[in-house]
Amino acid sequence: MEVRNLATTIFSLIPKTEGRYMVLAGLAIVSTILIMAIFAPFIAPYDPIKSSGEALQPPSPKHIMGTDNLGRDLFSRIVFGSRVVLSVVLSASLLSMVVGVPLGLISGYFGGKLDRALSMLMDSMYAFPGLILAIAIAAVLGPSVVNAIVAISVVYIPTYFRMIRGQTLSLKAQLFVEAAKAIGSPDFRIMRKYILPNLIPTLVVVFSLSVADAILTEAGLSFLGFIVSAPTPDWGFELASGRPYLPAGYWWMITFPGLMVMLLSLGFALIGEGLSEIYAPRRER
Amino acid sequence: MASLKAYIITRALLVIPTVFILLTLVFFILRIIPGDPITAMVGQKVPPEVLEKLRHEVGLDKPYHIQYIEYLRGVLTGDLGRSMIWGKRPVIEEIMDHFPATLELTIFGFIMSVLIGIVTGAVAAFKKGSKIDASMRIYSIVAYTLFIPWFGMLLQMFFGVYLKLLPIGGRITPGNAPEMITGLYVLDSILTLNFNSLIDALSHLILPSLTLGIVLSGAYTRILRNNLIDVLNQDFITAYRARGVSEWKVIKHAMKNAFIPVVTLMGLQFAILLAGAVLTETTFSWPGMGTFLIERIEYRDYTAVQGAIVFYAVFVALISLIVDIVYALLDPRIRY
Amino acid sequence: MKVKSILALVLIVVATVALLGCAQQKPEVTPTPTETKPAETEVETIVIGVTDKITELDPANAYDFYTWEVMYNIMGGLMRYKPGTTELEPYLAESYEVKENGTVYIFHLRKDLKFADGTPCTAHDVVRSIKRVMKISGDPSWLVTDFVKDVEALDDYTVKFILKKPASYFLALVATPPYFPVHPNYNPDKIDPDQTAGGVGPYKIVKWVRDQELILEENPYFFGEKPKTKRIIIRFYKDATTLRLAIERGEIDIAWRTLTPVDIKTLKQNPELKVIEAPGGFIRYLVLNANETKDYPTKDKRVRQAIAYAIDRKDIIERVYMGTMDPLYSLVPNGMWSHVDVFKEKYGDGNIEKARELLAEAGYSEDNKLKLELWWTPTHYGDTEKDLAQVLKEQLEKTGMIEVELKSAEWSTYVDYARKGMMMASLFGWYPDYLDPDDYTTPFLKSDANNWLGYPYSNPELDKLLEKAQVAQTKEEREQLYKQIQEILAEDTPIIPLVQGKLTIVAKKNIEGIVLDPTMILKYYTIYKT
Repeated sequence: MEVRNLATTIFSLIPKTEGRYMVLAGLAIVSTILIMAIFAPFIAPYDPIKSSGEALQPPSPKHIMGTDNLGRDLFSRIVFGSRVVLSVVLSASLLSMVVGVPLGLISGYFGGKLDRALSMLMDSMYAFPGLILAIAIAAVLGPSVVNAIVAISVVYIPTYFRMIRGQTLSLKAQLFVEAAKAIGSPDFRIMRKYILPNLIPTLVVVFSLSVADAILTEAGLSFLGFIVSAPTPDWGFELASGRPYLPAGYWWMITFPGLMVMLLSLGFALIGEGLSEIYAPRRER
Repeated sequence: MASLKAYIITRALLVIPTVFILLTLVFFILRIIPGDPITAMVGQKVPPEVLEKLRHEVGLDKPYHIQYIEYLRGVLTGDLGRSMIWGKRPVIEEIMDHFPATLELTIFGFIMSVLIGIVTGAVAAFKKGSKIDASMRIYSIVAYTLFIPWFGMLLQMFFGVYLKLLPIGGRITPGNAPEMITGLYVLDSILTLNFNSLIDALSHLILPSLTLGIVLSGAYTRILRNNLIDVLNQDFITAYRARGVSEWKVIKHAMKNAFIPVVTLMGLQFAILLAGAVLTETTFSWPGMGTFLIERIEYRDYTAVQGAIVFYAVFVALISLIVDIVYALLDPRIRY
Repeated sequence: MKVKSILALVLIVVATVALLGCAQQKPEVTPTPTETKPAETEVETIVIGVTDKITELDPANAYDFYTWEVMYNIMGGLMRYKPGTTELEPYLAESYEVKENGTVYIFHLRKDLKFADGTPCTAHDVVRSIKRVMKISGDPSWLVTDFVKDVEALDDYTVKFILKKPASYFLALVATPPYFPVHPNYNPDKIDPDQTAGGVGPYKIVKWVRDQELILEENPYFFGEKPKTKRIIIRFYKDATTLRLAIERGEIDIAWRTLTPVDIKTLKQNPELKVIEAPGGFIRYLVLNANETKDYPTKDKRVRQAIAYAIDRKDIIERVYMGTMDPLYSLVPNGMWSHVDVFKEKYGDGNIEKARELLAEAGYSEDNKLKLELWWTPTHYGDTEKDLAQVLKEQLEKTGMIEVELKSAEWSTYVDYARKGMMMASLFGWYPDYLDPDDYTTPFLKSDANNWLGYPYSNPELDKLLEKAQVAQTKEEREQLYKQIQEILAEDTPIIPLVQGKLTIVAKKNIEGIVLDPTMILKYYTIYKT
């Protein structure tokens, strides 16, 4: 019920605020890259891990992003690389959500000692630099996609926890929740029926924004060598591989992968910012 | 001011469990991996007896709970153990070799980000509603998505390789380092009146701090713009203007008031700053804590990696403590 | 309110700066007793740039290439390699005698040996230093303890070694840093990582700032020929690119280790610089696990030989190393005596047809492919490793009958896996400790010595030959034996040699006297500016 109301509300707001442009732009970027990832074998012109041309060729009609030092087509590597990035980031974010949201909800709703203990744990994790935490975990577990997912998800659990807990606290104080309590509704029913649906707008915004951040964390980990090992393509890793060739003038090996990281992150950021603008527009005179 | 004192004390005490949790996590995680530092370091030819002896020297053969207790005791006394590789120097010494580099980079990066953020935010606020305002808002979103290694490399390529204007790596030309007082080259150069070193150090600082600065400035842009707009709308500003106070003075007063939330932001941004510093250091071959951490992870130098993370944890906890206290001093509404 | 907060901030800043100041360790500037600062006047100076680091200035524990190079320039041993050759000649010793079937070596020291501060160096110092190495038991100490039972000073100028068993390459061992006499200032019981007092060598350390620079000046008390250039400054760069830019901009006279293949290629085209190349002693090879107890396809000799046929070294050198390596056809490196291109003679390069034949014989076909796991390690051998693995994969798969799965593990794990024999095929490299075919064969092929490789390859015939070669007294005899050893190696192929490193040094056109030899040590004392 509440969800449907929400959808209608969003829709009617769309023509009025600037946020919609951002959301649309963001969605366009993200869906393009998603398509690239899903249909990678059809979109990439060459096999990304086999050499298909001469080494170190600049962008040309045959290889639109050039070739790397082993003669592999960079565009194909970028296309397949999107698979790694998206799968790691989306899995990690979902994992963070699955852990952080319920914890935040329960903590915020019940309060008390549990809340204080969890908050302290989450706050200390939140204050610690995310990338460094991810590096420590990933380095120890070893370079692999699965380990990276674990490492990255740990980093963002506190984000979800805090946001959801905050929202839960404010919702808890509202009249309709008190009313539900007064008529004797069990706690879990209240959480499920009244609070959870109202968390969704916040959740979507937090999700988009933290995915945007997670993409940068993933790229950072990949750049440092903690996610994939050659010959698997991954954007951050391509950046690191291309680095020694930069002073010799081979610019295409790093320009395109880095650009993709930025675009994907930007896409999600625009969605998040745009939505947040729509839900809570700044009233400026 | 009993309540202020109580706040400070409580806040300070909270540092302990935070650090403790992190320490414990690191300790356990670092001991379940396959492969150990000794094998990595001595190479292929050493017979097993020698390996065992080395492991014993470093304490890796003791039962875990004993290792843990000794480790905690060490941290409390400031002894972070000895590195397990190369010269087996005390970890705290090695960290102090690298920490000033990170501190210097972080400070300059921070200054850059705040300056850029303030300027862009102020411009946006004063030109509210215009295209400039809109582009500043876009800037604030885009800036953070500029992947640091990528952005840094672009700057290196442009200013270092093509224009040959600036150095692309390292802190200073080897041999030009000023006399060591604090380890912060800029400060030491000034203190020892070493003009040559000062210029050298600054030229090496420009690109990395610009990279960090631009990427982190976005948040300041936004917050300053929004706060400034709120402040500018307030009555006392209208009063100033009505009294004929010069526009510059109005700006000054407005900025001062808009500044308080920026200070909180500085505290929150600190962790991001440190994380960003790791990538910046790697990109610019900056010999700081980030480079140190990555290098020691590669060599499985337990004590050094542990020491580095402990250091980060304590450092972050201390800085957030300081920021919270400063904020409490500034804002009379905050009390425990 | 505002005043208080500003005060608080200032206090915090001052506190931080003070803390940093106290916590700083003073740099390791240990002036030698006779001079407190470098000469003020214009001194002939050559500046060398490297990306290496000095780990510790103590021969009792230093076991990395660059630190050894520094030690070869500020210290010396009883024997040394004549610059530019692999011939040994007496150095700190005037002469030596070998007695009791090669278990006793007596060295007669020169009488004019002095450390850099004028302190005389006698047989007692030699014995003290070696006993120190044995006591401290650092990483390279096995070079002493594996061979030397006891060492004593018969008088001020005579040193006697009693060996555990005869080793015909003992003289080569004596030329390595663990045997160098060191100044009495060296801590007798512990590793002294920042000690700059040095030993008996053409140069002395005048200033050392860790990871920044090292300044050497000629040792006034050196017994031998004075170094051609009075002062050498070594600058430690953080990465290859900065080093390359430094030489391009003329900030340094020589760029030594280690530039990337791409950088070398570009620098070759620079008209103001010259690039000198020489074969180095560093080799790369592929290890095939022939362990009988495991179920690896590499157990089958035909499989191993097929792989040897399929490998194309020229392709590897071209694509992976941009021509900066040389092909290697034996475990004994190019340029070393007794070397024979056995793998070239037997297998050639990229012989796909023969590879297919053997694979078919072993029961494989296009429908029943040989599944090979090829292991490599990401950082220990440099960034090019992943490319090497990739290219090998492509070459092997060209047969159409092999499917290669690339696996990697980070160095410490990698070495661990090797020890446990968990890798089917793996890429390794080797830097020599001493220049003798023994160091390139025994550690790989001899039954008890090759445990670190994890697959105990054991061929009794080879073991016998290797032992004979270790004790044989004449070079001719040894050469014959090593030739036979290489033949057997090529037949059994437990290890396939791939490439040999080339040493590359880039210098300004006016720099002369650079000698690159198989020791791979740059001797600073032969270099001069014109």
